[in-house]
Amino acid sequence: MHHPRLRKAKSNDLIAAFLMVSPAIVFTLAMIIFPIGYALFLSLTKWVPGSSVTQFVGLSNFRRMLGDHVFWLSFRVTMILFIACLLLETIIGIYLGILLSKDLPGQKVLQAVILIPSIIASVAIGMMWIQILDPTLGFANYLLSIGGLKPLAWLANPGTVLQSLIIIDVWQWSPFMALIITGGMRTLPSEPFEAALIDGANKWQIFRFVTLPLLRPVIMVAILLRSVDLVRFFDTVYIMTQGGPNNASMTLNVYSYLQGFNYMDMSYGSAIMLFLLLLVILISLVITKLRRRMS
Amino acid sequence: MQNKRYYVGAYVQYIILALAFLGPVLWMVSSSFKNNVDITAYPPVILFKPTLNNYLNLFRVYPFGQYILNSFIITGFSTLLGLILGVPAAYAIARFRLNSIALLSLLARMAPGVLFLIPWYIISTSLHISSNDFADYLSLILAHCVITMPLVVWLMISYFESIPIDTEESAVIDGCSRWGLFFRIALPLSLPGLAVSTVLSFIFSWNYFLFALALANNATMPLTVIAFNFIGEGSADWGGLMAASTIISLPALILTIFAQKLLIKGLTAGAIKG
Amino acid sequence: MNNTKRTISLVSTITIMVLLMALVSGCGQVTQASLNGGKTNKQSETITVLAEKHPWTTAIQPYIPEFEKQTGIKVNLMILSEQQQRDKSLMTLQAKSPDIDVFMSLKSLEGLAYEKAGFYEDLDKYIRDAKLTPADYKVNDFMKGPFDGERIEGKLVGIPIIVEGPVVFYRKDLFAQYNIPIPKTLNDLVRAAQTVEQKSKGRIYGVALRGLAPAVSYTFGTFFHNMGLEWFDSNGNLNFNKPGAVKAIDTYCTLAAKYGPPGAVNNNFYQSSSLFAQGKVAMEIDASNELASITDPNNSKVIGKIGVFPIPAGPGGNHPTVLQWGISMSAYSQHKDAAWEFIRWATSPDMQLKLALKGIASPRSSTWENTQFKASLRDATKKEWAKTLEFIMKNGNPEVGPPAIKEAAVRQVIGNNIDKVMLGSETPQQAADAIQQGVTEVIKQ
Repeated sequence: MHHPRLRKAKSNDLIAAFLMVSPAIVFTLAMIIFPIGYALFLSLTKWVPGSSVTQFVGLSNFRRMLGDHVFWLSFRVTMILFIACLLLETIIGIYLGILLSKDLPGQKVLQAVILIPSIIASVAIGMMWIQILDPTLGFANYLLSIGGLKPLAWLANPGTVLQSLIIIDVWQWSPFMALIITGGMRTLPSEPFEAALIDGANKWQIFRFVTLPLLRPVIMVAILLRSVDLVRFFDTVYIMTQGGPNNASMTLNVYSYLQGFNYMDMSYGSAIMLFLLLLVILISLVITKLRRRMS
Repeated sequence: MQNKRYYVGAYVQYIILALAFLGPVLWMVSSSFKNNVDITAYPPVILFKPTLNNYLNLFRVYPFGQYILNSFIITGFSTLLGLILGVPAAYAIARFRLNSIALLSLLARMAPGVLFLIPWYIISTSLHISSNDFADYLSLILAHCVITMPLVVWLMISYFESIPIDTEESAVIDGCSRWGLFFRIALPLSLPGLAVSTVLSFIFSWNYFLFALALANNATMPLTVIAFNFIGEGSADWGGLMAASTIISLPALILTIFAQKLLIKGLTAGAIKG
Repeated sequence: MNNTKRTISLVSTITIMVLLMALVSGCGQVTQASLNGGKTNKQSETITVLAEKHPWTTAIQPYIPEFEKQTGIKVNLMILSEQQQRDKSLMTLQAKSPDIDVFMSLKSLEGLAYEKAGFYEDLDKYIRDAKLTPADYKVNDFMKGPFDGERIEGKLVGIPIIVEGPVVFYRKDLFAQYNIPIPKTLNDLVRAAQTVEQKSKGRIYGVALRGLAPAVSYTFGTFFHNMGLEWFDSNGNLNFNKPGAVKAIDTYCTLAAKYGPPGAVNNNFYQSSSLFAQGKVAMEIDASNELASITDPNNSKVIGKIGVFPIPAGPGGNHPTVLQWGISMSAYSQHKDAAWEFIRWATSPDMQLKLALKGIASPRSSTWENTQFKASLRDATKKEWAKTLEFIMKNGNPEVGPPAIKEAAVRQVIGNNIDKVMLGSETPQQAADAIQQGVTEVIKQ
């Protein structure tokens, strides 16, 4: 650090870093400040479609939120989906990521193949699973009947709708986690592995004490990116169940959308959306804190 | 002996995984070659007379070629822009530990998409009263960049961080500027990360439908919005939907296959580093 | 290192603020400029028509080039699925944008809210103006029900394009095989469904009907009205506290839960139609428009075996739900005369006849009396379908759900509680009470 060239480079660094970072910041602020400000404004007013007169109502939209049992229900559903999906997708993602980083013949094909679920447009995913999970005509129940099992109502039963959504989400997004992790595996240095082998470590030990710690930064990023999307769970619910049956699959994002667009209450919808935004920020902060503590 | 068991084990896993992840996809693709009446049939029809009608109809009934082109324009440019904005930012963030800026860039991705719809619509309306296609594409590309850029930033930070500092320091001593370090050392070393970022940005941007619903008009509508149009009152065109879905999935799939080469290249870069 | 970091952050923030301010003021100027430019540029008119992916749209689409040739007006037809079409129209109109000139709108759903918002252009003045509307348009030819349905608080906000309503599609062959007479009352309907399940030994379900919460009101409404109940009593109070309401819920949910396919609670029209077309149910209660879907050889295994009858009467008579779709003009359109020309053309007697021949139920009485149209109802299914629709139009109740500004929220409450009964977590009495309370709350908001 005390080499003269390094010190000189430092002042140039300042300018360079600034130039590198500012376009991204300008873009972010330009694109999101107005929308967030607008949502904040809406949430403090009583929104009447079409009218340009605004009536400030203070925090009453937020107060209404606290007393709204569907809101709390959707909060609960959001958290259940978030935790269950994240846990399963991380575990499966790590497993897949490691498996895919081995250079066996056929590895390329498999990597492309398992990524397909993340590639298909969510509309198609939703409609496809509606068909597959149809209680009477669906392929899933056909498989169960072959196996001698009782048919399930899947999405149409409040007791199984979340499990069904979790299965679909894990199927769709574990490969996404795997892809990030494979990328990380490929940038890992080889010496620690060699050293561990020389020390006579078994497979589990290598995984637990070498692979996992080295992969941690990449895994944390994968978790962070997936969390941000999971807390805003939307597409498949919007397409398949609209939050039903009987609100059993209502997520915060879907609920705020329904309030804003279907029930034409943009103010209340905005209030819920801001709560959701806050929740996402909070969860991301926790994850970045964890990330820093670990590294 | 050890080796053989290893191979068998790995391939058993390969087959199970391929079945699990590919099963529903196979169902989709095979449905795209079926008549509607066979798609909803129970028990499922395994053997059927394949038809190309679903695909032909896409181009006969809809300006499907135009939709495909629109999707490519929006996704391609938003991915590119996301990389241009995101990669240098990620490098600076990784090297100077600008964590707050990293979080700020993620803010765009944290906000629920619905939140943007009306405000953006208001802005874009006030900017292009005469509604020309170029302005439309531009607003869509910028909107989709909200999806791609934070993804690129966050992925690249972790890949840049995994490059050891001493590699760069020795280059500085050799008279390399910060930009030189970025272009000549950091970027080549993080090629696998770059490949992953590109693939994922492309996929996310390609599949996002909400922004296009608000900002696109007839001429600039991408594929994903149109995919909703197959199931409507009085006409449930399952075959058309499955054919459209299959086509929608193809480009990202092809890209993934191509990016594999980059991923492998990254491996050799890692070897040099090691 | 720490200093470097702080400096970068500070400098970045300041620069960005400056840039943002420049950007915002720049935008203001652009807006001004383009506003001024918009008015002068008016060589060839283009109107944008926002339509739902709907049988009407599919039917009229091929004729649009004719209109363009006749009038020189270019039509930019934008077709989206139902939900998205509604989102798009709300967004566009809320921004007071001139991007849309004509749009399909469901008055029974968003009518009141949109009218209060000032989104609809008043069409009375166009229809009264002899220059804009020649006599051969025949305004009086529209049937009273659908035309009045396009009137909100006295103002004409749209012109009807198609009439529909929930009907019962049934399998003639199964009814004959199991010796089931056409149900005359709601109780008969339940009995018919029961007979099918018993005699087919559970192989075929009795009836498929809607369970998806936002969609339930459309089919449930007729059950409710047939108990002799309007949604509101004469004092404007909701009628769900009457015994008839409990009976209606009970009947509907018995059909769905006992004699319906499993998972009916999540079903919308397309699931029901798939089940019917695959021969898994003996009856389907859904929109009259579904005929196209279940008689399409590409879709259906039961062609030639389908009959249609109205949802049967209850103790309070028979008041089927009737629903009309209409096209409306945006109040923010900058091409209002051209927009009206399109609306007039699309709803002219001539065009409505052409569409009727393609299976679109016309809101004009002249169409139904037209010999060419009558001749087109060749097969038995079509004849029964037309007869049922005529019955619906004559006796129909246009209120799909209790009219409210937050109509969708009201229907969600009704749907949710009916779903609870289907799932067995509420009794019909509890559901009726919950609806009475919940809907009243929504209306108060």
